[in-house]
Amino acid sequence: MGGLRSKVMLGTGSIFLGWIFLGTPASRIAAVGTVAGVGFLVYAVAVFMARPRTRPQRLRVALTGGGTGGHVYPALAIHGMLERQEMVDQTLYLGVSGRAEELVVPRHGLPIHFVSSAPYAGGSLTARIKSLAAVALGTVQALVALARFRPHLVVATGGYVSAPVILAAFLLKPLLHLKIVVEEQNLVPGVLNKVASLLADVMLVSFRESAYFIWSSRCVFTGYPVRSEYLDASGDRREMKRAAGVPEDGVLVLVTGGSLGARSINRAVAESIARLKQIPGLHVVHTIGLMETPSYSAMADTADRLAAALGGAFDRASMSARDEQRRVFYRGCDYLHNLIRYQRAADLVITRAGAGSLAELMALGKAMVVIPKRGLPGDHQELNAIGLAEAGAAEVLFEHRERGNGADVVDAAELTRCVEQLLGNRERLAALEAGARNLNFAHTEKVVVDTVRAVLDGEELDVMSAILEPRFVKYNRQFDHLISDLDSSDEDDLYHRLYSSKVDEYLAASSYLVVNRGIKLIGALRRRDLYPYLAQHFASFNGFEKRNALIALGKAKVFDPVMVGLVRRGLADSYYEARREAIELFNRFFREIAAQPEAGSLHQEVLARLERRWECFEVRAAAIRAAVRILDSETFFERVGRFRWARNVRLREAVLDAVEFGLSSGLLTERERVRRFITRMLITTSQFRPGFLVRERFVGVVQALEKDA
Amino acid sequence: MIDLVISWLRHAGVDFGFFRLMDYPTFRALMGMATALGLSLMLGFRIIVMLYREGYRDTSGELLSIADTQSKRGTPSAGGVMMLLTACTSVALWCDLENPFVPPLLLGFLYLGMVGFVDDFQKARLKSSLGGLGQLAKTLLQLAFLVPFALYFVSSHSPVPQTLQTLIHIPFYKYPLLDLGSVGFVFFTVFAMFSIVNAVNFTDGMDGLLGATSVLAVGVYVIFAYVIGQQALADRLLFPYIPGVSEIVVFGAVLMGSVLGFLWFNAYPAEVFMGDTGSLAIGGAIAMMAFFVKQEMLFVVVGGLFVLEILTSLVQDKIGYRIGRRLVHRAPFHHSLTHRGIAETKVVVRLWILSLMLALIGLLSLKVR
Repeated sequence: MGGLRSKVMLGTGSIFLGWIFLGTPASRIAAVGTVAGVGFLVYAVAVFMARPRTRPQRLRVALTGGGTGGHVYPALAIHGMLERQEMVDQTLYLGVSGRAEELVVPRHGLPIHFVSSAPYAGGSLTARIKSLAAVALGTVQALVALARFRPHLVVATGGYVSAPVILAAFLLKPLLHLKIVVEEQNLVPGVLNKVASLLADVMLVSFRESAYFIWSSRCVFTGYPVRSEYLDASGDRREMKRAAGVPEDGVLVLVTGGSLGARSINRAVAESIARLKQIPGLHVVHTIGLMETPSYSAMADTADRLAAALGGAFDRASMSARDEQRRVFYRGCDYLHNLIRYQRAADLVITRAGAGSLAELMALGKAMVVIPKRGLPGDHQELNAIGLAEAGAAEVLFEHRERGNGADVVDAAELTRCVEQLLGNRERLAALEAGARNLNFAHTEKVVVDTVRAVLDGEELDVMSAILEPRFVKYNRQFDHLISDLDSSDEDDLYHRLYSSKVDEYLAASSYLVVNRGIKLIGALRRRDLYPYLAQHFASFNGFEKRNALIALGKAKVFDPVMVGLVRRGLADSYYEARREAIELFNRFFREIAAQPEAGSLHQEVLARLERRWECFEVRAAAIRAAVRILDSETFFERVGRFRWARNVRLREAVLDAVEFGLSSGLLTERERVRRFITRMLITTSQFRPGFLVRERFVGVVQALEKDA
Repeated sequence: MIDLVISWLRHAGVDFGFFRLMDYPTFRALMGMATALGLSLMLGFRIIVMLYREGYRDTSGELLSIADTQSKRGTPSAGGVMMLLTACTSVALWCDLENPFVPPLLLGFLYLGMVGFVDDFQKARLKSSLGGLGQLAKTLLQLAFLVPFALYFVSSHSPVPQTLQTLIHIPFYKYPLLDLGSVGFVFFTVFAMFSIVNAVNFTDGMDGLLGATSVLAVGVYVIFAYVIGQQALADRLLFPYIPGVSEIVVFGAVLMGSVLGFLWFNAYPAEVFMGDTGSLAIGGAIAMMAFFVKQEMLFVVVGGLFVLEILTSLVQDKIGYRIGRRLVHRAPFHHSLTHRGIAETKVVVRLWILSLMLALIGLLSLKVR
């Protein structure tokens, strides 16, 4: 009651003050003060009157969230979980008319009330102002609706649809004593959900990494809430195929691109179907999607391509194709209402990497080929896909952007090869299915229900304590980490393939910072096909780009003739780091370069850097290392000798590097001569490496503990 | 505070001869310095342990692996609180708080220390050195003090005499160079103080670097304050006399004591870093002292190292980043020296020598005009 007492005091205090100043020149302020005080007292009384009696066993629950199915279904799933625990007395769904919830919610038998709202992100300034006005109006409508319904619990799943409702619920919190629970389905939450996390009593996240982005610390990991129909993964595959109307002894491949469809997937399937139909027993069910825009009409475009690929076998009217034995091996449609039947019956699913679809398929334990949509904020679909692939739960194919028209494309040949390999290898399919099942978080329902109960009873929540920094955040922050990881990976590695699809996009960017990333990737991914690109654009690069281009070439495994020209241009450059890297590139491939016709003049240029009066010490050090590769022993000792007592310790280090290399590679053979050379080296240096005794002992103890553990 | 005790004692009839020592700013300065130093030595380690346990640890280095013993990660940070604590205690004891110069100095010192502390606190909370206040937030918070201070400086409440307020003096030259006028001087003050504070902040990058160099800079200003605060000396050496500035001698000496007490722990290998708490506070104190004795441009000489550090950082960051190449080997300047292969300890000592020479040149400008 402390809060009430202070409010009453504040109210009476301001009335008192107002009364004092009534007769004075400040009477206008006095009036305001008095009115404010009275208002405050009224508010305090209202709060007091509305104080909670004991919470009833069954609650009134308000659900909100929508715009797309991805927001509606989780809300319904959570509602279903609460219903199964017999916690729900009445329900009200708050949504926006004309969106997915208008179609889906009534089908589940729940009352729906409409408020106004509009998406804020993206769009012009006027659109944003309009959306804020819509949200404001929606908040007022929601206030009225909630005040009338008086819910005990508000469950929101995010999206612009839930914004006004969450705001209204927050404002009504002291009066209605309701609790707000927000569920975040994506890896990277949108701005709305970040703000909502501050208003909500608890935030439920489907990915552990999401906690990194949420602003509040009241975060509980629950996994993705799938609808109850997906929780039962048992059943005979043949019966399920029969129920779906598909040949029982066939191999069902389900292709889905979401309700709107996916252009890249549609086109890739159309291109590969001609070869795939040769797989015995293949039956493809393909949801092409509802998209109808001036630039792309899903059904028409796909139908055209299928007709071109299959000729007479394809029947446009029924969107199906038959083989020589008159058996249907392909069926396309724009939308499937009972998609779950096909999902349960499928042997292989080709899908996008949305959190919801993946969660549903993981719950069913299906083998998947995941094709994430590229270019989304935070690359979240690509990351979902990688997460699955790393756990052995799916195969991944990455889209790449076509250089000419900027369209996102999936390589049809890759898709064909992937499907053929999977369908021909039963063990691999079974392994993927097992992986998907393992990854599925089986306790979602329990955690959701327990958390909701804890929130309602005001108990301590089991919030996530460890906040992981997602790998992609780390990579974005320190791109060089990614580069060094990629240096040691090979072509099949997931991240290798992912970033390979991004190189062209990076190189075409306007800011040199992004182009730089592309250049570094060329090196780390060893993309030989892009070396000519580096040679072509070298002159227009700025300092950092030149340096990184030369470093990138240095990572190649095999010599490439363009390197000679670039070494020469790098040597002549005005930027010292470019000169240094040019010499280091020379050092890497010195044998192959020596065989080139221009070798002689190149050697002269490198040695010029050694002797030059005002040269940066880094470049001179690299030239010293080059000298052992260029000169014969005696000339080397003669010309490099004076650096043995150079003032700059890096030069002396370079002399030692050169001698070491000379010995190990057989360029310096007379050991006695080398020994005499080295003896006159100045080894007092001002550089040292400290040893921290307490730290080392501490680390020793920690390691001993970990070994025993 | 001790002067209050003494006047109360005198009032009560108790009087000792050496109470008169309190009238001399030099005596109070030395005692203040000794107190600050002594307090640091006594309480320092406890404060370090407290900071460590509260989670204020340095997170800026890269930890290659758990076995990476070369990394400085985990060293307690925010050691500036040690300096704030000892300085404030010592000032309260030994300074004449009614002197018009002392409250602004104390306020600025504490306020900027608090701003730095918020930054260190954010870094501690997020366990990452990339957290902390954003650049904009830090700038705004600093300006929130500097702008009112500049306005106060040119107003009629200012402790600096009206005739002197807007004049600019340069070292080695007898006469004031120019008069900026109130508005111009306000802009100049804000810009210059902001630069000084951030220059000092950038210099805090190696164990013991900022400690000794700031002591030298403050020391020079202490001597200048002594000269300018005494009518006879000021007239003889041809400096504008500013009454009451002698108290800055005490404040400066206390600051020196605090920083030396911090340096006791901060020398290589450091047991504590001062973090933004300390560097912003010291920067603020130096800036204000420079302006109160009207020797602003002297900072370019005396704080030449700070100027060098911030120049290299700005050039590398603003210009180099824009055109896409490095312009200096590494920024700030002390990293360039390490890049050449000079060990950190040697770099620190060499920069101390550099600072000492600059400080002596600054002192030279007392006589050579």
